[in-house]
Amino acid sequence: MSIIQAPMREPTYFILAALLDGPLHGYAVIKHVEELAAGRVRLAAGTLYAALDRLAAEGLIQVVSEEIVNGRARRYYGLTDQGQAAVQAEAARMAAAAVVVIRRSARTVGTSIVVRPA
Amino acid sequence: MSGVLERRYRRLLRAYPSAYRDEHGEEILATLLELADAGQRWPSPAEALALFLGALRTWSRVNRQRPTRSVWLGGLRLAVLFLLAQATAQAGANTGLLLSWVGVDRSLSAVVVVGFGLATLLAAGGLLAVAGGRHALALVLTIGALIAEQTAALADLGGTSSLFRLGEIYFWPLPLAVAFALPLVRSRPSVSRPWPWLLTVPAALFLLPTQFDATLRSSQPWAFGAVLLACLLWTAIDARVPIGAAGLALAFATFLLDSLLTMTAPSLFWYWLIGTLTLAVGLLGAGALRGVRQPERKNS
Repeated sequence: MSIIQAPMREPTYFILAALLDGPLHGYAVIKHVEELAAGRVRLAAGTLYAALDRLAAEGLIQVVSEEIVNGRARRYYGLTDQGQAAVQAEAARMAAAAVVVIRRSARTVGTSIVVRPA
Repeated sequence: MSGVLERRYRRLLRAYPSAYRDEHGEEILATLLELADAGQRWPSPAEALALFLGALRTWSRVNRQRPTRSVWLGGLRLAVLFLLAQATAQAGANTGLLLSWVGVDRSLSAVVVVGFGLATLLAAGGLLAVAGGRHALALVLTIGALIAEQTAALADLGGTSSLFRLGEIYFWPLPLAVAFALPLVRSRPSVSRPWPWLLTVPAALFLLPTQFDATLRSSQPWAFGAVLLACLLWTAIDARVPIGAAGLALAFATFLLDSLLTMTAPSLFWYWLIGTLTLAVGLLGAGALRGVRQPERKNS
């Protein structure tokens, strides 16, 4: 199995996370990312397509279908198995990193926090 | 209303390579129009900037996975191209000046004029050969240009011409181009359209340090410094560019060091030398870091 060595950049993470629910076209990816990141990440179209090209080249996503809407091509992008594994691995890495801080903070204030799995 | 916006976005999309536009242009345009507000007539600055950067990335093909070795070879190839552009500009400017003295300066030898003229043609041929991926031919032409230029310079030593009194700035680009071209001969050639590279020659005349008065006196080394800084910024797009620019910086630094060690050069040259070497190290470091920081994959 292939994995990404470096930590994932935030837009990449949210693009892959948006595709966990199923294949989406460009506009839907941007809107879904904005929603998932609570408005914190707003992708420009140029940024999105550069990222989609890169992720497709890395084998993390693929074009799953194509249709013509109003005379223009609309491609739907979906996660590959590799992409799904990569985004899950990144989520686990971030969760483990978060737990380190949360546990210490809880000890400091003398309270306990239960981290529930998503 | 949306027709105006669409036309303006189409204009911005022209920044992308045509093959990419054929494949993705309509798809990106559809997304841009879907994102637009009702009544919007102008592309938003954020979208315009992202399209511009996306186009730059596509042109430089950084999205393609490139092994570190290939980044360094690509950087060397760019260094050879830059140095040959500089050498062609330098030899061409010298030839022009010498031609204007024919009939006026009786001590001017025909060998000097022909030598610099031949060096100009051979260096330009080398530039086109490197751009076209014919590295062995480029090496031969560059060595030929070096021999022609040195023959002309040696023939001029007995003359009264004052053309060469400003040190040896014209000397360094060609030997360095030969040295950098050697590893390219056995590598798989990168090929680009050769003719547009000729446009770098007039640009080099004004932006790079040459013996031509217009560039050496007033605007240098600031124009050259600006070029190197621009190449440093270009690291974000393509790691090969700063490595190529480091070759130019090395040629200028060698000239400064040579001037300081062999003749009474102005003390200002020490500051230029330190600045140029610092930039050269910065360019190489940035290129090396960017070269290995491009996403890599491993199998496990």
